[in-house]
Amino acid sequence: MSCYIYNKFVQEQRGVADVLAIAIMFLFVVLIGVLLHAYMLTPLRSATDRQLQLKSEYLYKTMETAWVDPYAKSYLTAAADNLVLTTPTVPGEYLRSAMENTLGYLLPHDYAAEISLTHENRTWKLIYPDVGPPAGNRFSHSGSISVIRAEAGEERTILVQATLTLFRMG
Amino acid sequence: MLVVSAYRQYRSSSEMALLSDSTSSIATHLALEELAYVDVTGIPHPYVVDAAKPPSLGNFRRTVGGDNFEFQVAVLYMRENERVLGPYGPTLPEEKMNCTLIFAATIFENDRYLPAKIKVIAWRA
Repeated sequence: MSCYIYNKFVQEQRGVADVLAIAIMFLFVVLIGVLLHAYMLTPLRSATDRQLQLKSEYLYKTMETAWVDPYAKSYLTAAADNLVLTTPTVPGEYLRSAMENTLGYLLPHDYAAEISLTHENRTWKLIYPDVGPPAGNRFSHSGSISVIRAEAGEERTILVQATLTLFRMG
Repeated sequence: MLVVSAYRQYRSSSEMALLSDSTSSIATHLALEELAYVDVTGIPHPYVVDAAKPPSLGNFRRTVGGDNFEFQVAVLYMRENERVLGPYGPTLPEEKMNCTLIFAATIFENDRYLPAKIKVIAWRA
């Protein structure tokens, strides 16, 4: 009788330990699974962000180098002219229309761009498509555009700060 | 099962991220060096594609970070209507994962700088 009681006691002790060990292992496995699921898209999201940053830089460089048809002046240079010169080569309304057409062709699907140029207290800005100011992740590239202005018989070089921001439309 | 499934998806996601970064690297090298327009004085113009260069691109295999990749490249641009140069490169394999990257660039054609798009599709060789 005493032997039976002893064996039963030992078996119950082992049983509880086994159940506890299995439960902890199960919880551990579930936790690893949940963490892997939670973080598995992180590398891909980061890679997508890097591509969008690259697209923002290339879009800025395109606006800096490509000419406004039929003029022999780049989009950003023409915009800088409009900001600081009284008689720019490319008329303001024509430039905005041409820039919107070009952005419509070049922009990634579902993305909008904000182009802003500043000099002293003046700003030239274009958002296309016009969906309001950027919200969420922004991918920007900045640079400076030089414009030559004639002042009192002398030519003066003016640097205009330009920024292009790419953002997802809401 | 849960962990194995999550691990497989994590590996797949990491592989896609690697392919995405490698495609960006190939595209950057093309736009800044291999396809870049060089003017008559010998000055290269990065970000500006010479319209004569994409058809003469001979090698469509690159090594990025020790891994081998193959790619196709096409240049699209507007001149009254959309024109497409390419695609140049080997046929896209159906069974392999690939990454497509389309980004803005400028193309130099007939003495004019025109807005364009470069399309690069890359996959593991």
